[in-house]
Amino acid sequence: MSKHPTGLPLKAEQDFFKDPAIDRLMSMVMTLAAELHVTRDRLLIMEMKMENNQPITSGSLDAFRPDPIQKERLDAARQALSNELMFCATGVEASLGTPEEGVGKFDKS
Amino acid sequence: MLENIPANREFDAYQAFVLDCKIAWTRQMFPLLRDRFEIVAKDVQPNTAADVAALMEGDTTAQMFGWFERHLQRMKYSGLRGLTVHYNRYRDEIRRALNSDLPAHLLQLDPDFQQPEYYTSIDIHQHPGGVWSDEIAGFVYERGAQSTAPMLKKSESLFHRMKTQAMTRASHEVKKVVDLGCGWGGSTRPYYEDHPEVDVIGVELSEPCLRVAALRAAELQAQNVRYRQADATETGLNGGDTDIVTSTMLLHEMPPSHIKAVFREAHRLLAPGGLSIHLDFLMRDDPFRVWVHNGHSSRNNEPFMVPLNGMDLLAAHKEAGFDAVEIVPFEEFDGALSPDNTAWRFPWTMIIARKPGSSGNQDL
Repeated sequence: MSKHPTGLPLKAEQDFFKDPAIDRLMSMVMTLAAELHVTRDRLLIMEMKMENNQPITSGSLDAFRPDPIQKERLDAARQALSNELMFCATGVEASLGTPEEGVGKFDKS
Repeated sequence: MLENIPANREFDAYQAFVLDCKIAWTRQMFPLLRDRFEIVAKDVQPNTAADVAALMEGDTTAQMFGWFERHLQRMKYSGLRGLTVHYNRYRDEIRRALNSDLPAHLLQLDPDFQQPEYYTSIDIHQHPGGVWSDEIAGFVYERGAQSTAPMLKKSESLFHRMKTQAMTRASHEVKKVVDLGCGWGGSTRPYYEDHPEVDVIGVELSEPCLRVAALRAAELQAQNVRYRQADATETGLNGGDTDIVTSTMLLHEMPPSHIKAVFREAHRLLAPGGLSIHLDFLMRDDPFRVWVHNGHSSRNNEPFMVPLNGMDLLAAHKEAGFDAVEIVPFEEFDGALSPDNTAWRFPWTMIIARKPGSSGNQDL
């Protein structure tokens, strides 16, 4: 497991939620989200290369440098995912729910 | 050499994703946290960071805010495609570049140098092993600094702004500048690059950082800079002949005893009328932001931010021999200090003093 490069003992876990399990689950979610992005980015680059009839090799994907139009497309895909993830963390509703005082005021009977 | 480190799209994609999340944290989550605080504080009037902490206890957005601050930084350095993990693959290339033959005047290392205990006990910025223990740590730190403050497009802009502040405030012709805690040389470069007539000395604890600084100066064929391994509290440089003694983001990384010693060393180095100017972080007048700042101190492994924020800087300067100190907000980008800027930002502040003496204008 994790060992500090200097050999010094690591400090206690720093946690933020009432149950540290949530902290750890968050770490797992964000690690997976980052890897999902990396994989989607590679897939998009493969599509771009296919559209341009370019050879697809592992090395060419690693060394890929997007042109401005490709960069815009790749940046937009990344930002859409990161924005959605971070929005989920804010707890802001996306639609109008039932009023806290109930719906009795709408009943005209 | 460093230019031989191959491009790696997966690493770039990962780092860009982490930075995007940090920008959302800065621009969206922080204002939302402030909104939530203002709702719970409406009838309470909290006066201290502790009051704010009590009010925000158990707030889910506050918990999320803290989690993302700590863990996005962890991901940046130590995640699957973090900086230390990625550049470790190119250790040999980086080592060769950093150990290449450089002009002798650029770098003065001390083979017997002992790092201070406070420095080796904490991994600042969550950089595993700190910026001193690994031979490539300075290079990793330089790469990481490109996204330290998400609202800044490039850290160079910050360093140039600080240099301009110092040069503008100097009361007489500047012939010699000492940059304390210069790291990988980002704060030193504007002085030697823009002012070839000025003798510039960068002082730093970390050999890995100094090697990067010297390499960059060599790439620029700089003739007027030298980097020296020494403690900012005891540089070993000649006293009484420096026009500007400066530091950027140094003070908050050392305990108060050492900060006071830095002020004393600055006073010793300066010529009469010389300028002491430090760029650091102070947040004292807004309990909410003090609470956020104190939290950042813990979450980013920079625990001396809190004692710096509480220090009597006037007394510390007077003890060092200065007559007065000026605390001035620093605008790291245009509009940063505007009330319209609701995003999170570091509380950049200049701490300015002038050595009493007969040279030029004595006003701060």
